[in-house]
Amino acid sequence: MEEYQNGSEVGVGADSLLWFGIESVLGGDDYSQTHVNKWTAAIVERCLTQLVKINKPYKYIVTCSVMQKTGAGLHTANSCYWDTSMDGSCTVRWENRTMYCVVSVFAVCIA
Amino acid sequence: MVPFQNVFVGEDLICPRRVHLFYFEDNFIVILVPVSATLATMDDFLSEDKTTFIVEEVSKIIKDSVETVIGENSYKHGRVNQWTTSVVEQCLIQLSKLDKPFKFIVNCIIMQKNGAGLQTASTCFWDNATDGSCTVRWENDTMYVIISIFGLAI
Repeated sequence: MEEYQNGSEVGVGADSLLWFGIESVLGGDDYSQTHVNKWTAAIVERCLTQLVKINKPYKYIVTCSVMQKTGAGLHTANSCYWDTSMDGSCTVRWENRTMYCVVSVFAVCIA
Repeated sequence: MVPFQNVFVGEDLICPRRVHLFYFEDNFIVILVPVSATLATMDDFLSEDKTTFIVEEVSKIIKDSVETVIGENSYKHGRVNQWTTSVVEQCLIQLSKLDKPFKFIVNCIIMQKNGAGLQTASTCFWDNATDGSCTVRWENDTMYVIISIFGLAI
């Protein structure tokens, strides 16, 4: 459900940070087409502000996908061309009764 | 004044700077466009292309990769895994061939067309002047494909 790559500072604590970011926005709600736009924006914003507060010399990219549960198949993949010793990513998958949410954060070290 | 035909770019031979020529019916109107206070050389213009994130270029790479890997195939649960991997790999290979001082992140989402709603968002904490992103939404009869590429200058 949660996975992070390489032991950079991103992995440690990032998955719980993302989880709480999602939970605070989506927790208890059902999928709603009118609100989903607002939700995805709020999730990425919340996660980013928490990450920036850690105050490490990183650039961050946060992506979020919210999908309604109707039996459709969804696959995501990402690949990164970077410095594997310093950079890292973390992906969290969250769900409730009516929707799935996948949030990824990529952290790139500022040389 | 509206340029009538093509805009030509040439080099002023007297003092080296890039000039733009607007061909205007039978008359030529030469307009000098110095980029900075000091005289710019052709090299300065060429190096700019090598260090910036060009969205059109990246967008073309994405479209070509998706067409090559997926094309007209129908959504198949057993093959989707392989498709997402191939698409991101193809994109990354083409991007590294550009030989630019960038780190790249390629993200690919494939969703079956089933009436479900899908919303994606991304936000970035980076250097606005040098970094950039490009997102392409592609579809065929049975699936949606969304590919995002983020480029961060080293």
